[in-house]
Amino acid sequence: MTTTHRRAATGGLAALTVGGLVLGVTTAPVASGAPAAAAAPGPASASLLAPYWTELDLTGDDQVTTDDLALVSAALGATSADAAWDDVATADTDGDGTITVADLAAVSQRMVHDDGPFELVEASVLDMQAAMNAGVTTSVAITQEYLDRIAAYDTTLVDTGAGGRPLHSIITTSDVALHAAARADAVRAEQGMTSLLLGVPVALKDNYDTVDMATTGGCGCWDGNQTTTDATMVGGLRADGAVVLAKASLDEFAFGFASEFSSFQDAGTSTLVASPYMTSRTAGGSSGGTGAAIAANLAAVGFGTDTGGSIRVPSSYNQLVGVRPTIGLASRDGIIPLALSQDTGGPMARSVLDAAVALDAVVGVDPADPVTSTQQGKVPASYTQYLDADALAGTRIGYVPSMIGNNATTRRLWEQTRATLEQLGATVVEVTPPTTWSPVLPNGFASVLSEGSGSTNEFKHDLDEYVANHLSPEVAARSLAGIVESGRYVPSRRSTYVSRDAITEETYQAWAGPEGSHTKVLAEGKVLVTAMLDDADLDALVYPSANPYGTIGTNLRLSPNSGLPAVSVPIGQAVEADATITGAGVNLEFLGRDFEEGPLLGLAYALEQATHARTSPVLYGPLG
Amino acid sequence: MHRPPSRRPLRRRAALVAGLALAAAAVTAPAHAAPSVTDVALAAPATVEVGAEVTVTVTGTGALDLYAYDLAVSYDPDLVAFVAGSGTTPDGGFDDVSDDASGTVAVTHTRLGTSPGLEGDVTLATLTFTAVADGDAAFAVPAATLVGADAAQASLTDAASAVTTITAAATPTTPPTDVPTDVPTDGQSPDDGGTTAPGDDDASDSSSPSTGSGSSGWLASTGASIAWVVAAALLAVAAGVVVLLVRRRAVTSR
Repeated sequence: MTTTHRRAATGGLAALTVGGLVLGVTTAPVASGAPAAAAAPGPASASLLAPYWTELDLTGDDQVTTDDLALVSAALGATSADAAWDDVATADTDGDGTITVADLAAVSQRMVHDDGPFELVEASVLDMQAAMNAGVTTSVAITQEYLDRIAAYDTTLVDTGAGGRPLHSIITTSDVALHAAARADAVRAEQGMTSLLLGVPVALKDNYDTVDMATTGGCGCWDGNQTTTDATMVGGLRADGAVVLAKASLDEFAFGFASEFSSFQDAGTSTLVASPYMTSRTAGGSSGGTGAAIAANLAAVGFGTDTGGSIRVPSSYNQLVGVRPTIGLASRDGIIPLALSQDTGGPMARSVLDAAVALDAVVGVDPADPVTSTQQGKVPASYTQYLDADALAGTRIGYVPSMIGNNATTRRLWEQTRATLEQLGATVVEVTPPTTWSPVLPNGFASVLSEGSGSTNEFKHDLDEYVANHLSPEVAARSLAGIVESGRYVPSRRSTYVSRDAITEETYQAWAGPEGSHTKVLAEGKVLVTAMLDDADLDALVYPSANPYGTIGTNLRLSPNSGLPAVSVPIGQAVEADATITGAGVNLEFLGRDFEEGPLLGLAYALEQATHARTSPVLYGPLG
Repeated sequence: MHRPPSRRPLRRRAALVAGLALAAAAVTAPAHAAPSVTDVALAAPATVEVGAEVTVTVTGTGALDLYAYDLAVSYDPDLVAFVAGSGTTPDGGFDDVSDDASGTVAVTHTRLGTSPGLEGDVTLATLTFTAVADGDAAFAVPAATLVGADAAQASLTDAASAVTTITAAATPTTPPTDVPTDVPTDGQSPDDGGTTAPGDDDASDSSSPSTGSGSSGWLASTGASIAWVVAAALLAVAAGVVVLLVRRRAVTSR
């Protein structure tokens, strides 16, 4: 709708002189001589569609550039009495009926450009783009600094306190990341900021296939799995100019919440991933390496996978924004599976904006993962368009009291957040879930939450598919049985792998086949939870993702057991008076309807902008 | 697309700037956050000859959080003409310098994006004029508006001024003297006898404010040279007009 208005404004400005009114007689305005290295050409379409960054655009390209400033400066002195006022009224930011230099400044401030000092620690994707656009830094410099941080911090004992451990969040760093960064810098020099991910270094959980680094799944048994293709999601990231920096550690084959892995280690040994806030604690899992790495600023943005909580748990433990998308939004092809009925890949980031930008790069229909065809017509031009600090105003946010739990920190932060939500204009609604539903869900909502993870019955089946389609021929362990035989895995896993190897095709079909019990529960779970949202006219259901370094009941199962998307966002930390784990983070999860990642990101953004609850781990500050 | 240029908007704009300055004086600016400069100075050469360039700089000292500004530089259009395209402002920003050809150059500058405001001593504008007639050419900054990164504003009135004395270059004030002892080396003089080694007479540089006697002596020595200088002065005026016309054409075809 606003696009139409902008196009009208553009046409109108060409006709500014009609009627004898010349709003400004000027020499051609130019961006004055910035240093040669600095002046990136005018940005191409970069898909930063958050209203703040588009609302003052006058030229119809959804961004403020020097072209817009030229229009504003040409109109300096124009007043609301002028015939052509409508064409520049957007630029009257202070609403005084006159275009002044203050309005020019206000419009200019919506450019993605910053020539001030650049600090990488806690920099958002937008900070990086603004600094690169101004020539203050480059992708090569940013990539090198992240590599330096990984080298300095990841396997070093930084925390000398009791129980302190190295993070061990990275399995492999790329030998070619700097080349990719140089290419991104060349693209910027020639074409401007073609994407908000241009030149941005990303860390991927080591179950995403990458052509330039082996994909171990966290298992020593697959150290040699150098695939010949990228996972589809990785291809999307590279297409947007992202620099694939490193492969992050994980709980072996993405099983559990501890993040214990055996890659590139001797048989019979394994390593745990630590939380950078408290290295004696786990980073959570299974995407724990991604969680620790992004929290400790070892990469700009990360990706994890979530079957039953594996993005949201490490996001909560490491004060990150985590997105578990709708099944079908992003292709799983080329990701080592755990249970395809519930597997998802999604971003983990230090801000909602970063998460939205990262999600934009990985959506799309992929014939290799047929469920992605369900997204047709449901994916916005950019998730950033929902990032409005007022997004909570007028919304209805539901919660189920039993999902809040009894942890003192979580309860306190929930009450605080509830008040914030209300201050921001949301109506917070207590929801009483259905206690009966159908033969498949006899106890209604409780039946949805009690359905188990698909991994027990699906792992062997789905792993075999990955082996057939993606596993490098160099790898000897080509089945669950082969993995057990190799002896190269997390030692405590043996019995689990053996039992999962015993799952028969009949068991799999009875569970995950077209008429399987799990298939039915998930399908009906989606209907039931959607009905809960509809009946109470809710925009989202909220609940804590986790307690301080611990899970809450079955909260994490709601999203995977309904297939509905969830966005997890930090709401605060434990304080001493809570008598829990002082300093530990807690996230709130927003769950919404199918393919409503956009509105959910908007709600999370509004809350984030009001609270800025994330803290940076003090142990991993700027390198000296 | 061609249509007569209008000066009205620029006058309006100048009036607006002054009006804002008055209005701002009556309004208490936020005490903690307003952008500021401790002093604004305007520098111009003390004397130049007709035909010479006059470079005017506006500097701000002790700038704090100066994200954008708008200032007017007034000049005497009977004595100097603004050289189109000559205005510059600090690097790394966006600027717009516009001349109404009747006494006011409006300079607007803004930093870009989330960049910080300018700090410290800043050359706010450098403008070049051509001296077209003799007399005392006054330059001034009658009004300026400062904008901080937080949108706070401050206004200045009558911020700075300077006067350049333009001398009727080449007008002989003394009787012709004997054979010149100091001949320009630029090869433009028909009777350049090559008596001086090239490059040793910077005083002949037309932009220099110097009015050294050697030059006068040479000028006074031949009528032809005087005619050349007068012609050059006329040419400069004509060139200024041409530039203005070209600029207007450029504007109206935009």
